[in-house]
Amino acid sequence: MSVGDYIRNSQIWKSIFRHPAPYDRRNRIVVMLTNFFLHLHPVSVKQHGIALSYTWCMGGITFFLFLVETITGVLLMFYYRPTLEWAFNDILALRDVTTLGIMREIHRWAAHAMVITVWLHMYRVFLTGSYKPPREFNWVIGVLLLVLTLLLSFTGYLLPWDQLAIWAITVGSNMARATPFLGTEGPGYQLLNIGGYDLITSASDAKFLLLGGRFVGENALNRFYILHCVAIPLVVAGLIAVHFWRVRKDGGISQPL
Amino acid sequence: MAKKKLSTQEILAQLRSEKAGKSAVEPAAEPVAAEPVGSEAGNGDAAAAPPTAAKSKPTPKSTQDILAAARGSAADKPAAAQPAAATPKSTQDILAAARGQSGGDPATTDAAPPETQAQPAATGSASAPPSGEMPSLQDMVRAVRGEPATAEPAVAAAKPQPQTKPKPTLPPIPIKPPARRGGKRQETRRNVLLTLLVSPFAWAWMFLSAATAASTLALARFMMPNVLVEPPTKFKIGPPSDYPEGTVSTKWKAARGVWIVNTDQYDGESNIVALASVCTHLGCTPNWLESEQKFKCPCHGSGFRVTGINFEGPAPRPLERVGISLAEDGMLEVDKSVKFQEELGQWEIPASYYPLA
Repeated sequence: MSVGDYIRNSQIWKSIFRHPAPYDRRNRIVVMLTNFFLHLHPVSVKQHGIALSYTWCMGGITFFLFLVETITGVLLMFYYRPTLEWAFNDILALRDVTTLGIMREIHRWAAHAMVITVWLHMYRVFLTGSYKPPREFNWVIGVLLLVLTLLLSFTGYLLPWDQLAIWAITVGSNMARATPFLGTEGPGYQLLNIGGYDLITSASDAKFLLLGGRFVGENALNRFYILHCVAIPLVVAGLIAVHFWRVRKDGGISQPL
Repeated sequence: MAKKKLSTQEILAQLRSEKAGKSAVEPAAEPVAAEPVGSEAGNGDAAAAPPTAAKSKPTPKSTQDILAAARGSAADKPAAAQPAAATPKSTQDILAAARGQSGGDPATTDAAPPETQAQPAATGSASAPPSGEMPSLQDMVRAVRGEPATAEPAVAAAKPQPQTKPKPTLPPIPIKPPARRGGKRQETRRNVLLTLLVSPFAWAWMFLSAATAASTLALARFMMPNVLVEPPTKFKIGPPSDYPEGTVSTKWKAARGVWIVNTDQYDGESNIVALASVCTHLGCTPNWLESEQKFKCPCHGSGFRVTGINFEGPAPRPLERVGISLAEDGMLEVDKSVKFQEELGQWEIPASYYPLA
């Protein structure tokens, strides 16, 4: 018995890989269905489901870029500190002295590319009518994913803490001041007034909630760091899983109805 | 005692083959013995038998003969169409008896059920089938029991059946009353609101909603920090003599975000005002250009006069003034928490300027 056979017949191996490698169709199905990671994907896909002229593969490319962003992002977190003292310097250090610090550039480029592919994917779905019943809800999930992708871009933009970042976020967050009822420069905030005590002030309005301060400062940097690295990616990951699941349940990729 | 259980097909085929082979099939041993085990197996087989019995080809003998022979009514009655035997039995008993008898023939037990279908045809025709098609097992059972059958009137009359229990008479099924919701309270149109409010589910949902709403509000409050490390909004900037006539001081711009301007070009009167260094277009920080005597925003090119009035670029309104006053110690004090917008006429308010002479 060869070494490989000995290993594959051992109890440890069998407890990890419960089924042997696929050798016929039935076993292939079993392996797919009983695997935690693989069972999200259907066992078999129609041939036209992978036709580039049908799907453009933009959804798949977007997901691939999301994985690239996640991996490079996590690795960048080891060399970046979101404080006023260190943020800008750490970015420079990543560029100049860190091994494979090129991941910072990859992260940035992939972010731009992901926004582009998200829009192209949305455009393709619209052109092929893949939003029509019963796929309407998947379109809604897609729009949510689009908004969250743009928010990821917005929050990530501040992290290098350079002039471009600070002023871009200043301009963007100034718009929050004009929120109806919740912004100090919007309409209706005077209505939120309990017994003469203003609920909406420059220290308690929507812009303040977003930045954690009255202007873009250290609080804003920390807040955007957490939103960019933890909070929004968690929500995006959940919605991506639902998005893929709905594709299957609504009839499969590139399937006529 | 426990022989191999035979299916009904096997039993019948076996009996047929033995009949054709002219061997005495008398199951003289167990005419009455009803083995419970065999009965149970017979039940399952009996259920499976009718479809297959319907499919089988016509046999040389009618099944009544076979059953009669199996019953062992008169020991050597060959092919006698006398199903009316002395001791009537249910089908289970017959099958059980046949199993017990044919358990001593292991050779024939190996016949697979499909093969037994072929055997009747193969074994030929000892005698022509009287009716032309084999009756179903139901008919056989009915015939044995003496109930009116479809094609065999020659079946014996009804006989008492000692082994089977008499079927109990069930009381008539009562009419089910319509279901009531909510337990105690009957819901009608009149009291539906009350039912909704009082039922335990309603209470549970209300508490859950209240808890969720409270948690959301608490989360919003949590996200607003109570301690800010920011420059103070009220600060002193020195005596008025520090700011000569016709000058714009950028001393406090970097640290506090205000220009201190001493000018009389707004309304002809000499005032010291504090202008907030925030462009009214999108919030960038303009620069004071001394040589051109104007504030110029680097972001999109908005331009403001020394008084703060916008005159070029995308800025829609003048720069904002912030509060300025004289403190008790003779120092000017700036209060950034109040702002005054010229386009709203607020530059008339005394707190927005410090008059000189």
